[in-house]
Amino acid sequence: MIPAPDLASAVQEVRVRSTRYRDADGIAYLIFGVFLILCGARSYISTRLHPFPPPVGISDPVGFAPLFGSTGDWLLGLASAVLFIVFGRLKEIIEWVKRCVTYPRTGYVATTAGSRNLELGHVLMMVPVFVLIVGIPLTDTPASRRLGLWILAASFLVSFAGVLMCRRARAAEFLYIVFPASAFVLAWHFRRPDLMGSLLTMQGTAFVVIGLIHLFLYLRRNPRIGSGTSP
Amino acid sequence: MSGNGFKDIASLDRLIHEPARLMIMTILYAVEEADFVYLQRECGFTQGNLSSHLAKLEEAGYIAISKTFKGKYPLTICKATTKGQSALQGYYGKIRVLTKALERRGTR
Repeated sequence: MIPAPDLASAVQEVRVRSTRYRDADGIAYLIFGVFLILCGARSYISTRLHPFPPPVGISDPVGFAPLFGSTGDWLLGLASAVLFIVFGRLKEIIEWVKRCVTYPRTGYVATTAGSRNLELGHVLMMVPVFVLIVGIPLTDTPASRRLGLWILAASFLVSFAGVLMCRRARAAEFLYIVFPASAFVLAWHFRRPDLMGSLLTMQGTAFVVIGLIHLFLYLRRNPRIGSGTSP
Repeated sequence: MSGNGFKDIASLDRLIHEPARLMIMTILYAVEEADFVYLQRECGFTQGNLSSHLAKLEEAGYIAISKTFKGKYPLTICKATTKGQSALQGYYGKIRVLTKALERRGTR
C-alpha cells in the first residue's frame, strides 16, 4: 500500500499549526484576563457601594436608584461604559500588542476557519459580560444572584470550551478545571457580597497566569529576528 | 491525464512539484495569508532561498505578494491566488491517481 499525499490532511495540519501559533504568545489570554479582572474590580466596588442584601425601605422596585445616585454610582456607570467599549475593541488591542511583540519574532498569519470560530467565541462571550454588567445590578435579589451566577458560569463554560476547542490551545485543560471549579465554589457561597467580583477576578487571574506563562516561554524561544519583509 | 499511470508523471506541474514550493503552496492554500517571517519559520528556509521560490511562484501567478504595513511594522504578505489554488488541487489530484495506478500495478 503506497501512502498517497492528501491535500485535505495537509491543509488540516497547516491550519492546526497556524491556529496554535496564533495563541503561542499568550497575548490574547493575558489581555482578556486583565479585562476580566477589571470587570471584577468594577463589580467589587459596586458591592462595596451597595452592600448585599440591599437596605430596606428604598422605594425603587426596578432598582434604578443605585445607578443614578451618588458620584460613585456615576463613576461606576462610566466604568461600565468604558468596559463595554474596551470589550468591543479587545481584538484591536490584541492586534496592536501582537504587532509589537509577535510579528517581528514569528511573523504574521491569518487563518480562515479559525478566524470565524474566534468571532463566534467573541460573540458568545458577550452573554456572561452582559449578564454581569447589566442584569445583576438591576435585579439584585438572592434568587437573581443565584440564577445569574449559574447563567454566568454555564455561559463561560460553553463559550470558552467552544473557543478553546476551535483554537486547540494547550491551556485548555487548565481552564476546563479553573472555570467550573471557581463557579462551583462561589455558587456554594453565593451569599457573599463580593461574589461576582470574586468569580471574575479568579477567572481573570487564571487567564493572566496562563498568558504570562505562554508569553515567557514564547519570548525565550523566539528572539526578535527583524522585519517581515523579503530581502 | 492520459490514465497511463507511469507516463502521467511527466505531466505533473514542475513548478509545484519542487518540495520547497510545494510546502509554500500548501501553507498558503490552508491559510488566508501569511508573511515572509511566518513562511520562513514554518518551512525552515533561508531568506534568499524563500525569496527565490516566492519570486518563481509569483511569476507563475500562483501567489500574490504585497508589501504592506501593520502599524509601523513592514510586512511582505503572501497569498495564494485562485490559479495557484487550482494548480495545487490539480497537482494533489494527479498524485493520488498516480499512486492508485502504481498500487494496481503492484498487486498484479
